[in-house]
Amino acid sequence: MTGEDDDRALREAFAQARREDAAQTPAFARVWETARARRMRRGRPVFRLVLAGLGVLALAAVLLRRPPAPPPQPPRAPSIIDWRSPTGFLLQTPGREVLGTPALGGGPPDYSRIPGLDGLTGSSERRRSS
Amino acid sequence: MTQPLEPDLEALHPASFGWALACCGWDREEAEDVLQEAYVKVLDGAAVFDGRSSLKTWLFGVIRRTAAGRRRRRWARALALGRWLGGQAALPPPHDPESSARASETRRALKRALEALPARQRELLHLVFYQDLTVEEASRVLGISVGAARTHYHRGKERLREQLRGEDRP
Repeated sequence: MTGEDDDRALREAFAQARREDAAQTPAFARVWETARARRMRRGRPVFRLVLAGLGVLALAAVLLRRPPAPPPQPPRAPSIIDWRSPTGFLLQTPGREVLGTPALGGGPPDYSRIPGLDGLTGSSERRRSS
Repeated sequence: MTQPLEPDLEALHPASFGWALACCGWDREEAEDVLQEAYVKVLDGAAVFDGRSSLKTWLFGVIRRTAAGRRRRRWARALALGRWLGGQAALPPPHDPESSARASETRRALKRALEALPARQRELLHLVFYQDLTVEEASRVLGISVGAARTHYHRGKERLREQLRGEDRP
């Protein structure tokens, strides 16, 4: 059997299959109308566009909403730098200004300006011992 | 626009159904569903004929992809159901037994021989011998190169002849 004969035999076998299948083919009108009905059931394009638009609006509302107010802050605990000692007044000793005041250049400090310390100055008035 | 296509689709309807049958393992009910879904795609505008090939070649490509998509979804559902039930997935029968009963012996022999071939060879032989397409047109339907289509065609033809000779032997 030549190649051409083989091809002819194959074509005849397929042609017979085609004839038998054609007898079982559903009517075009029925299949086409069912397809059209199925498409209508899926929804019109306008309806789908409206749904899509509502979806976009809902998404925008979620993304653009005002951020929630921050929760109320708890009362701030007092800082260590604000602390004042209750017995600090005891350190207010007389003469502390001397320790806090730098010496003004040149000679010895003028004790005469400080009450109670004028005897320490080099003045001519001397305390006479009794 | 689908209205101008309707007369052409009607003229191609018998050939389209034959191709849908080949894509669905000769399950008549499944083939009709596939063809219907392909028409829905045309009506929806999901499948648009752009004139780059013949209408028949384009439509056959739509039918083939539709059948493959349905097959994948069916497998996925069967696998998921099988896992959920904790047993073997119940797969649908591959062909329509009623159609098989009505078919002639020649038709049945050809169908058995074709089922023994790899899918690509089977599709090519159907497109060339059943649908009278050229190998080039068949390659466009299948989305493969012309060279690959010719290879599948020649190998498929040889194997089909061997299968049919085996069918002829007592």
